[in-house]
Amino acid sequence: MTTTGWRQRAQRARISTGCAIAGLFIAGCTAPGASTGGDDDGATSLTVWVDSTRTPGVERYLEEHPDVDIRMTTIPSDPGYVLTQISLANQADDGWPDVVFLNTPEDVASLAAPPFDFAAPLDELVDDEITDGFVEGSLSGCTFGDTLYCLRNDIGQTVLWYNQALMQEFGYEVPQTWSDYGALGERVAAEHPGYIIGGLNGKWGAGVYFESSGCPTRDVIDLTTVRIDTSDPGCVRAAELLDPLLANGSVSALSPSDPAFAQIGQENRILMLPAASWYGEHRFKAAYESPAGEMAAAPMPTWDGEDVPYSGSVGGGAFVVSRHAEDMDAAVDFATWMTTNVDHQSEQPTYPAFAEAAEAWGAARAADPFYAEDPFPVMKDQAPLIRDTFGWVRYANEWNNIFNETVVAAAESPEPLLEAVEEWGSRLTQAAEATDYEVAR
Amino acid sequence: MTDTETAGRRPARADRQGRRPASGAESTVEPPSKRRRRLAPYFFVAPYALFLVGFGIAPALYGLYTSLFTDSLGAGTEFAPLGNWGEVLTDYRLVDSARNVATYVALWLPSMLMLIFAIALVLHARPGRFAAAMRFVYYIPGAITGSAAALLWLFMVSPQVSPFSPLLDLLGVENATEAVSANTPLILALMGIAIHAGGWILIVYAALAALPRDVLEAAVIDGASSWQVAMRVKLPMVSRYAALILIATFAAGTQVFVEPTVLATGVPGQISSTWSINQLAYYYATQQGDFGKAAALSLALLLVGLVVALLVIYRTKFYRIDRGLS
Amino acid sequence: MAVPATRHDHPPSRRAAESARRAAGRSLRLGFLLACAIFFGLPVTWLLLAATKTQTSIFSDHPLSVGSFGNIAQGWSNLLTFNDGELVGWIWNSLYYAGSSVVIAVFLSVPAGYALAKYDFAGRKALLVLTLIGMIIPTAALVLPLYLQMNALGLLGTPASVILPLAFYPFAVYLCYVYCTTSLPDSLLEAARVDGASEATLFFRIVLPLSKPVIGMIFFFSFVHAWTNFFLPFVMLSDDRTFNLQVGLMMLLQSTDAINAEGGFSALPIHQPEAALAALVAVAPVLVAFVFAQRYLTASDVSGAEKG
Repeated sequence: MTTTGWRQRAQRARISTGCAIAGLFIAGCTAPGASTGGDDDGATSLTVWVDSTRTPGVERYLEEHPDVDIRMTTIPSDPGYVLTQISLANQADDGWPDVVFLNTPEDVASLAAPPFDFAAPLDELVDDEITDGFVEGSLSGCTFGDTLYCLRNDIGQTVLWYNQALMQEFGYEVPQTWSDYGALGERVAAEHPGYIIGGLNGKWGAGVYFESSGCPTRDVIDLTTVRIDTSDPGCVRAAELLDPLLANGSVSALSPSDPAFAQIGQENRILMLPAASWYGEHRFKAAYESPAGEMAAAPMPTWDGEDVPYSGSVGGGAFVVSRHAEDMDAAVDFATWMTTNVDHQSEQPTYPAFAEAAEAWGAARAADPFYAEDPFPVMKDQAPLIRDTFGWVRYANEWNNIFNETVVAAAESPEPLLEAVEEWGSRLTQAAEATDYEVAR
Repeated sequence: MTDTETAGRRPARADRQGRRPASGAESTVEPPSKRRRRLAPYFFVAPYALFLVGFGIAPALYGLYTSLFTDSLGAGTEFAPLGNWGEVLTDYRLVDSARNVATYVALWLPSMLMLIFAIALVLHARPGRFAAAMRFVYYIPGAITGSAAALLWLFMVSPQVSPFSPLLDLLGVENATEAVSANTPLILALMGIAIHAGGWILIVYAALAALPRDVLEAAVIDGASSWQVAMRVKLPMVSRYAALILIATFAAGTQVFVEPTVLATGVPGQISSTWSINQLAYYYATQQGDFGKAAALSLALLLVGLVVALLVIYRTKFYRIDRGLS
Repeated sequence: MAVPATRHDHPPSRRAAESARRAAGRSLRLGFLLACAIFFGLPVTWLLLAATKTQTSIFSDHPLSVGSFGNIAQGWSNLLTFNDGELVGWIWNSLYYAGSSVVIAVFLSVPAGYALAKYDFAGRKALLVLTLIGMIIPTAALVLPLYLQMNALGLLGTPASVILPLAFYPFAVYLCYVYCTTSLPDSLLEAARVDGASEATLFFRIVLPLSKPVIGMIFFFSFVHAWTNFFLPFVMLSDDRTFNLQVGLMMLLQSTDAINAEGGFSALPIHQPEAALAALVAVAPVLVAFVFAQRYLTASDVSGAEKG
């Protein structure tokens, strides 16, 4: 580490050590670095918080911008860390970062609203040329009412992952519609029990089936209004699709973290899995160590009565600029660079939200022998197709938890799943109201 | 030593009723040794009292103060003595959290207390290297904390990969998802025992080891069996430790936080992030930035713990200065 | 306790029955202790073995099978790939924070616990009740007050903001209080006073040596309390280089797929075996401290005899 920021940090640590002892007797030790003011006059100074995956990007930014003095802190991706630190800084009226990376981008719904009031509106500060360069729809999560509050770093559009080798061996066609998918599930259960074609748990079930179907459970209208309606046809058809598949075991209700699920992956018993674009690289390849040359991505199946293969969404981060930033232009420039710089974004582990960067990202992976065929064209087609009912809300955490407590818990019961889905909806309404939303139907 | 003096200093009945022996009763001309003895305790407790006020009482009072202000969306901060308390106590999640905690405490507390004393007494019946090794083994699970513990406990409750798989099979658990969601209080109670029992075993054992030998030997010579010695002699002698353990474990149980959080880290979304009352308090502070509500709920939890603690203290005369051993 | 010698005069038949009964009791006790040892010992045994395995063998092999010990060294160097070996810095930070706060905690709590147990003074009960409150107050109530306090003192982000609140450890005061009331005979103190010992002499020459067991306990429990503390560094420190091991490990592990299957995107070679190794690294100092504390326990047998 040779940048100014790093050296300053080391210096800060030394000062702090002295303070620990002195602090016992004198209350006069100040914490250096709590404020954002620069040491050298004239130089631009920024405090940025990023997770460890983003640190190489910050270093690259520093190389390209020697005039900017960056104090970088690596933050845990723990949900709650950023919110806790920001609200504490609010109380102390000091110590905000100028730019912060959100691993759970839903946090922006809290950060933009009172009592946090942290996220700066970006419409006036980011050129339309730049916002137009993002994948269509990818900034909708950052937009509340008509105001843009963050820049998207990466997106988690879902695709239909499948094992091409197994599908050929079993003589199956990749389904084009969800009806075909359901029919194939019945065949798999009868002909190859133990193999799965999907997962219901957590963000998968809610984010893949129900979101791609347009079940409104987090349809953001503005910062204080949200639409929740689990009697919507979008919810009904997803529940009806899943009922038989859960009963016959071709869709698993196991948590993605469950070692039992990892075993299914490692034993190569995942025939298909509708899941986020990052699943290929970070699950099949890294965690399940699937054999090379077998996995491929197909477009999401289409729902009856529609001709567009809508995606759900699982994951994706965002950058937020502070309202309190002293040098707003520098802060916005940094956030913009991190999200749109093609060289930097093409090396990101997940699908970039900026369209041009996504092309470069895809090109860099086209020749990967892990895949049976290059999955990028499918990912690219699905990227703008994330259903617009999927917004970022302050109850995102409960959204996942309650889904598991109601819908997943009912997976093995003979009752229709729809009852549990309605329960999910009514408890979501409570959760939304408890986080200062008005709920529309 | 003068008996009268000790009697006067001992907080006798008068003291328990809240009256102190009149200070005028102390002699007007005080010998230096007596004065030193009167002043010494203040020197002994002064540094601690400073920290107690600075990092315990003052923050707690400030917490109480923040709990009296509401911080609502758009409306700004305003003084509303019952606003946070009212909202917290009627929160739709509280009933579930309270039921979860009650089940957990009912499963965890009695079984762990019995286990602690059973193990400590059995170990103390034959002290030696074996007993020392056992205390070490019993303690280890409590030392494993944090994110890495999430991995450990996730694997412990997964029949496919767990060394406890025979036990899990017996319970009919097929996978971690089910273990965590369908048997949450039981799994957490087992986890809680594994994590907390070792430290208390150590404390009770140390208490037993520090008992005067002559009393125990006298009991043995009187022909008491080791069971009788344990129940009739050793246990009553460590009753204050029992009181301390009851107070601390009851508070820890009602404030359970680590176990559900750790398991939920291992299997995200499978255990609600507001499963326990204390988690709900953390949720207010960390997810909603609402420290007033967090303080209100925490102080409500503190009250529950305090009521039980004072009951125990009153019943066991925990605060009495007692000269029983002299 | 040795087997009492006074029973040798029993008739042979009763003696045989007695010894059979004792043997049965002994094996019952042994069985109970070993069963408990399995319950408490299996998790850490698994953890030790998990660190020797690979990412796939941890799922596919028997949970109690042994992998390769070379994997431990490999795992360690894999852990060091995170932020240029920041892990080592966190270990030092943890030792520094925990070490400092333990010294202060012992210095504060031993005299306080002794005074509360053996002197009657104005404010004694108030102090006991306030200590009780300090002991059982949930931390969520203290997040904001402590943060604002440290901010007002200008200590935010410094080690002092972690060390000072950690040094306030009311449980240690109660531990010492209970020990002194239960195991410190008044006769001894009074005898010394009659001999003309001052209160300070009494404390340093008589109370401290006799309190070795409880000082060992306080040392140990306050070390564990400080070493495993997560909340204070999480709230007070915003520079990752100043994190302690607990917060640092959370950051490290959450950025990988080892414990975050829904979004650990780090390309670093850190998986489940590395996470198991990280757990062992975090546990090791506590176990070392335990072994030290055990020595004080055995010393107590001697002091117990002295009291006779």
